[in-house]
Amino acid sequence: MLDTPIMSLLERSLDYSSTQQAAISANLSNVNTPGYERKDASFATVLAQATDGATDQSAPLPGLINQPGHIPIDGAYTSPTGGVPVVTDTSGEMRIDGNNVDVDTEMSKLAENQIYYQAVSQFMGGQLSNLKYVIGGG
Amino acid sequence: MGFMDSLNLSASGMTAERLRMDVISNNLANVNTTQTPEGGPFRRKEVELTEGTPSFSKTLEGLSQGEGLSALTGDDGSSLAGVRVSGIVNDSTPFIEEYEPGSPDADKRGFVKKPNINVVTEMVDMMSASRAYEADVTAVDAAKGMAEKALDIGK
Repeated sequence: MLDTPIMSLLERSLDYSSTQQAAISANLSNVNTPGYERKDASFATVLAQATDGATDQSAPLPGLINQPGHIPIDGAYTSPTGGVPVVTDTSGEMRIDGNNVDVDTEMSKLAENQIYYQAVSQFMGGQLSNLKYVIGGG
Repeated sequence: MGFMDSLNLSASGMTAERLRMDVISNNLANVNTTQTPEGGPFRRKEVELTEGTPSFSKTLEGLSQGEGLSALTGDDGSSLAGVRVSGIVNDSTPFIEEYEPGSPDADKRGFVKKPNINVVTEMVDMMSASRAYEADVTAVDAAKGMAEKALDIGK
């Protein structure tokens, strides 16, 4: 009942967001480390996984693959598992010590990521309260 | 990558910045020290920071959960590991010489070797350490706020 494509998409979004939070923490803790290059959670990987695993809406009973042992059936939705990889960002103006962390950028990314996480978790809560409403008979 | 990871990453930064603050305080406290156990005046100390490496336990945890090494390190080999203090090193710039013929530390010409510490430099370093610490604290607060929001799911 909870294994809907939308739920696993939201789960993945939260995974991405918490990895991004860890990346920002790592960047901020390395703000004075010479030669450090800033890290980001790989949005490209998450997006590619999401589009690869898109559900075939025409299937009468869409399946879900969320365990390595599952047998793929027609139109099955593949739920991506495992951690979100991180990528190194080599762009941006380098300081004289080769570090490209800009505290202002990190802070705005931090705020953005926080709001994103709140939005996704609120949406997820909405999904669950819909379910609760239906279970309660309206 | 859970919230505990991001708290630990921020904590590594806070530890490093606090150590920097300790070293700066030590430098400022010794700004006029002309005698040390090693002989000669006090030499300015500096903290050397390097990017951390993922811990063994973390790698093992990832492997045992079937995530594989690729989940911990990105396609380009990137991983998150906070900051590590590789050591406290001496600043090798020359000592400051001041003319104080009456001092017991004065040499034949009447010059006293003073520590190679510039108070203004130390103050700027101190501000940089304290601002970096504040940034880490903000990241911790953000992680905490997000974890609280996650607990509200399904309420």
